[in-house]
Amino acid sequence: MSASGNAGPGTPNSRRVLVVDDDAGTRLLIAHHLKRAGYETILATHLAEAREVFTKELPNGLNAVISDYLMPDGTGLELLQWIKQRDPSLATVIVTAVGERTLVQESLRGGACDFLDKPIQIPTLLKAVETGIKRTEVQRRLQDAELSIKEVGRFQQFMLGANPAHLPTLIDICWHPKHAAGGDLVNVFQLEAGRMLVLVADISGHDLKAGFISAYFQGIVRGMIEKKTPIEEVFDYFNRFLLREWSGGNTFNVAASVSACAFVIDLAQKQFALWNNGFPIPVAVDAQGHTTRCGIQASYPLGWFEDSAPATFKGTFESDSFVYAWTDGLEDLAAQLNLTPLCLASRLLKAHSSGVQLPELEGCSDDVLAIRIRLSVQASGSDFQHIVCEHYYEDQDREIDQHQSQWATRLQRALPGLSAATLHDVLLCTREAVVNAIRYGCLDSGGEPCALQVSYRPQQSLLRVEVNDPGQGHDFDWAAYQTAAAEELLPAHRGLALIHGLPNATRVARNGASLTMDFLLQP
Amino acid sequence: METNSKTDPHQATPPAPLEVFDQAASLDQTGGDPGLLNQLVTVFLEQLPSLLPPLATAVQRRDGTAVRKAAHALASSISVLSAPLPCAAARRLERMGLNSELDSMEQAHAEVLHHLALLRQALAASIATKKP
Repeated sequence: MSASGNAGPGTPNSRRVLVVDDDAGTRLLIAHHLKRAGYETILATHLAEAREVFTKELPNGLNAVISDYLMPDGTGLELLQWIKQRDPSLATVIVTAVGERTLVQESLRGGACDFLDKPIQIPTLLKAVETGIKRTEVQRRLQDAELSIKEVGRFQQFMLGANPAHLPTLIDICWHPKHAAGGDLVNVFQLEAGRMLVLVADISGHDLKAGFISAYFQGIVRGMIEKKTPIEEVFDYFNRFLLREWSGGNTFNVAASVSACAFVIDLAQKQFALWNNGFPIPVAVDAQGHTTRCGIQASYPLGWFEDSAPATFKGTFESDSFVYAWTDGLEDLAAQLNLTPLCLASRLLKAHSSGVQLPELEGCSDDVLAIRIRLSVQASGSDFQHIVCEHYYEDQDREIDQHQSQWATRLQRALPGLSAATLHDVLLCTREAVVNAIRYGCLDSGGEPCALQVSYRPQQSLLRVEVNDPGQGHDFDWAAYQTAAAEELLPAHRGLALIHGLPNATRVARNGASLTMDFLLQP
Repeated sequence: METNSKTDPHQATPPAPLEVFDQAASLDQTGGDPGLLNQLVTVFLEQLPSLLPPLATAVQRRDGTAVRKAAHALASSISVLSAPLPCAAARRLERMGLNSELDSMEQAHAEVLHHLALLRQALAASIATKKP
């Protein structure tokens, strides 16, 4: 191999071109013209020598490659593929004889930047080299930018999981940004008297700008919390900050908004409170798997309106309780998959804790974040997989076929091994229970809905269906009428016969306003 | 421009000198640098003896792949000079090797050698005219 040219290796402005050709005259001609045009050339007579040069010049020591197609120890396309595996940014120009159009197509498909016909025309050569070098530079800049973004994303992942060391590990997090970095955040701060604050937020957008605002927001929250500022004042401050300083009439209108929810948890008192600005309403789950929405009041993200009071919620909890929260990106994905957000959140968190990434996350259109806060210091033995979690109002029994179809989809998705017979029994019983709850339990309830919850407990292979309505129930002794109902098949009792006959266990409370049906699945 | 491969090259009408070697075009190819042209001619004449034996052997053995490779190397070598007829003859032989047109290869090979002989003469004359 030989090198020629004015600029020395490694000098900042040197543009180095590797010329690979087994013909001495062609090498001489190309090197002469490239040198005259200010390039430095390195010459190789065959593929093996070219690979040696490439390896020696790594990283970024070459700006372009010109390679003959047919050489004694292989083709230029083989060299191109070898180079692409090691440095996809390096532009390669393939030289072919006139008329070898199939080779040209093959080369371009293989990632060649351009091709030249022999005999080589000098102006064409110089133009191809210049184009190749520019392409290499652009590709390398893109690679650098991509690496930087990935580094930001890596740091964000680190920040998400960084609980203060002196706090118990309370939070499970699954974060899947649309790009390498994003604007979702989770942060934990210790407060006075053993309380802690968990902040979860979603910055508008899912790019580096969102990542920057996320870091800025977290810094402000941390500083103000350490100065013992109440969280509602922190939110109010950042709301004004977004509206007046970043969005207010300046030339660079940031126009960002932040959906944020702060949980203050007192483990000793078994109490928690939350402040919510535009964040999807979190859901608390007790030890039996019953769910409660943490607030019903709508609120707006920070950065939308001057008056942006957060929605608040206060609750108590028992051991083995959890709070789930998720971003609107997860809600969108859940709607797309025909799942409830709680169901999707619990699936994602479970998969994430097992080191598995669910295929549903690929190609989602927004950042997706789900967190689960354990409201207990002790490790929990409960493990629920939430499948259906819905509320139905007085007039929704007319859509019962549609609801049933949704339950079926969700059950099959959550439990792929569920037999058709069991699915049929579960759907039949659930339908009866929900129709009863809507028609009788919601009647005269002042607009209160009934609630359906279907969850799976893997340790017991138990599928539990719970239906709660806001009514008073009615005093009916099923045991006393069971025989008569079965014998006479009274229309009014057929549903009850199903509800009591098909599950492995059925329990009623509040005169039937609360119904629990357990189905044991084959492991 | 290509000659008819069925014609005996020694009996054919002598080609126009510019079709064998176009010195002005070659000089233009070097950017008007006679020194570079001289170097290209020298390199070509030096490497030609090593290019011909593999081609002859391949033709003799009727080995299409080897003919293609050897003719390609020869054509590439000629292509740095503006030598249309010799280059076209070598390319034609290369294609014959690629397509395994074994029966026509001997004739095409003879034609290549004929054009190369003319090219050598032209190049020798070209070098001689440049000498003081």
